[in-house]
Amino acid sequence: MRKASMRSSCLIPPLFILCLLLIGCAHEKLDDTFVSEPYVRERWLTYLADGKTERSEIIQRLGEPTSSFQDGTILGYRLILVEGGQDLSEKAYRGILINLDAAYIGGYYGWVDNRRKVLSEKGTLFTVREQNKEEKLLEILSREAEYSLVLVFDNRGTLARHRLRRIMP
Amino acid sequence: MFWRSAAIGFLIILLLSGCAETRLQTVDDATLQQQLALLEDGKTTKEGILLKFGIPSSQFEGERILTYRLRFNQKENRFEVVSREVDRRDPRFAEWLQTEYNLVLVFDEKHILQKHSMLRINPQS
Repeated sequence: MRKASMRSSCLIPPLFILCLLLIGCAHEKLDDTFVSEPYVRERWLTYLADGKTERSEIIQRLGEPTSSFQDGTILGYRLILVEGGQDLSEKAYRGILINLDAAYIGGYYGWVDNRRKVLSEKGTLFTVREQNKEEKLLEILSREAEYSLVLVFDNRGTLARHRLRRIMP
Repeated sequence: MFWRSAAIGFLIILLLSGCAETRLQTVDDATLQQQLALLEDGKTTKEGILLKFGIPSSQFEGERILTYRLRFNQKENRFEVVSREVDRRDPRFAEWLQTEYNLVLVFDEKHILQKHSMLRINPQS
């Protein structure tokens, strides 16, 4: 009886290690719904319509572009998805890094999924420019997603073609 | 007792091997050529390139020379522009920093691609 009990207690450590390792391997699936290009377009950029939207309306809504090419016939916007409101503190930024570690190294994406959901409701698409890059560095580094929006205008200043491309996972 | 422990050890190794993920690798020449097939000197327009790759990583001589820092995403089978600001402590960029390419594009005054080159700037060992 005692021998059998000892045997089963010998099995506990390896089984415990096995459970830990299996938990370590657990990969929840990261939900990309709220950061996908179609969602972002529908949520924040519905006014972009080829053949209709004027350059002035786009500048009014998104502000000064990040880049301009071919005498302004092509505009580029570098857009980041971030929390709106107050500037991010160093402490808050470190907190985000810890949560990202838990997600991308530990495989627990709950915090990231929840952040994406909150951003879809209360977040903002912020235009990064040379002038605000230093001031908003923590926001840029902690962005949940980043997009490149390229807009091509015809000679009357109407949007002819455009492409929104997600450039950061 | 020994055999039981050995069996459990084997099971652990088996399960861990199942968890192993494929890491990014450098791109072979054939894939590179296929990915860059749209770039034709004397034909491709700056507009087409901007619409495909997005805002360039850098530009020189006004907008005559554009460069893109790229990495190859095997899952999506396409090159992606590497974000400009990256915190090396951020785990989201662990793979991004392994293999990086620099696409250099030179345009003429009519915004047509004159010449281009792809450089591997951060090869994976």
